[in-house]
Amino acid sequence: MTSQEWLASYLEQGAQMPGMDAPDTATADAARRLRGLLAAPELWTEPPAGLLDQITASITASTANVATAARTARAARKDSRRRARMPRPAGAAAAALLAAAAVVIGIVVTRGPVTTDVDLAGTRLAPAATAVAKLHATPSGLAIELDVSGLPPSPPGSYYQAWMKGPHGLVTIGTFHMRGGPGTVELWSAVSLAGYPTITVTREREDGNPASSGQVVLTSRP
Amino acid sequence: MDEDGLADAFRTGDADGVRAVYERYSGPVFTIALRILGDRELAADAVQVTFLNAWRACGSLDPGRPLAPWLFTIARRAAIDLYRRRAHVPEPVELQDETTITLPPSMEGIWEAWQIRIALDMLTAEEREVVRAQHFGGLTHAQIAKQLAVPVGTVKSRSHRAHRRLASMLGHLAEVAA
Repeated sequence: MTSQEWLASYLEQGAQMPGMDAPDTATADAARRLRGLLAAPELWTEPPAGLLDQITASITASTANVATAARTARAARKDSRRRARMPRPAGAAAAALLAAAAVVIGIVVTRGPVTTDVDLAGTRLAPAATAVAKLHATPSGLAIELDVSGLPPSPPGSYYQAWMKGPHGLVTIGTFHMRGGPGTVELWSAVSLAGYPTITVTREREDGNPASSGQVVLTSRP
Repeated sequence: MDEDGLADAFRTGDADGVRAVYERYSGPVFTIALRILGDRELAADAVQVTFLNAWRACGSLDPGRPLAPWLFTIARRAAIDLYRRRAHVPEPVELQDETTITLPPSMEGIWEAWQIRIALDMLTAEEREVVRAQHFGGLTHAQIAKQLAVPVGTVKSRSHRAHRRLASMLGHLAEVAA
């Protein structure tokens, strides 16, 4: 009997295997460990359904955000070249018009134009919840309007916390409770969507612990 | 798709490549995440973080480099990061003695669980069903035969074949010569 045949028999029959000694102690220990692992529940548990959809949605959202940023940069470069080619008097007039328009826009829309919308879907913890995050770039950071619906008010002693997640980790962008019913939550972020492409909302306890509970109730999708 | 094809598909970063890699490795990733974290929801988060991090880092996966160990490293790191974050949460447990202190499983145990899960996923559905019933369900061949409504001889041959295949795939972990 080869060592591999011995292992096959041991994995199948365990200690009941009659009259066959292990090749050596180390092999016997390893075989016992492997056989024990075969009975571990995590070896037989499947990941939750819908996880692949969430992953591909996050990837699609990241790709879309990168493409939007590239389009914006291209448009800015094109606009800059066009202005450079413009005859001086016309350029001056256009600049005056733009300055006037900027004053009007600055008064009417203090945060500037909406740059990106990110949809969030409820998880198993809040399947009826949905939200749209409208991200506005400002000189101070990203102003985020989170329109939330279907998310129940957080019970006393708990609250919701919004996060932006990326390869470098997790950055909180604010907390809220929704006890006044569905509506818009104002959040702020110092990090960019390109670096932290996933937006999530978690359920937290008022226990003084600043770390995420990991109980995600809303997560971004395309 | 073979391992090289899978790595190539993933390296392109497109959705089909990610899907193919997910179908092959989501089970092993979930297994080690669950082993480290002991919580299905956190383990699901770890799976999500693993595949997103892997997708972002796919440009750094050198041609010819095997996908499985690279993905294992990313998955283990993602799960341990979540474990450390959770470790900051105060537990409502009064420590009686040091046996109540829990530590993450050893690196060796996590690697073995990863390898075994990959090997189990490579069995046929029929072989896997018998191995599961025997080890996880704790059933005898006769009980499995009754449950599956097949002759005992069929269960025995499936079990024998499955365990030979497992030994062939896992022999290196038991330090036995093939």
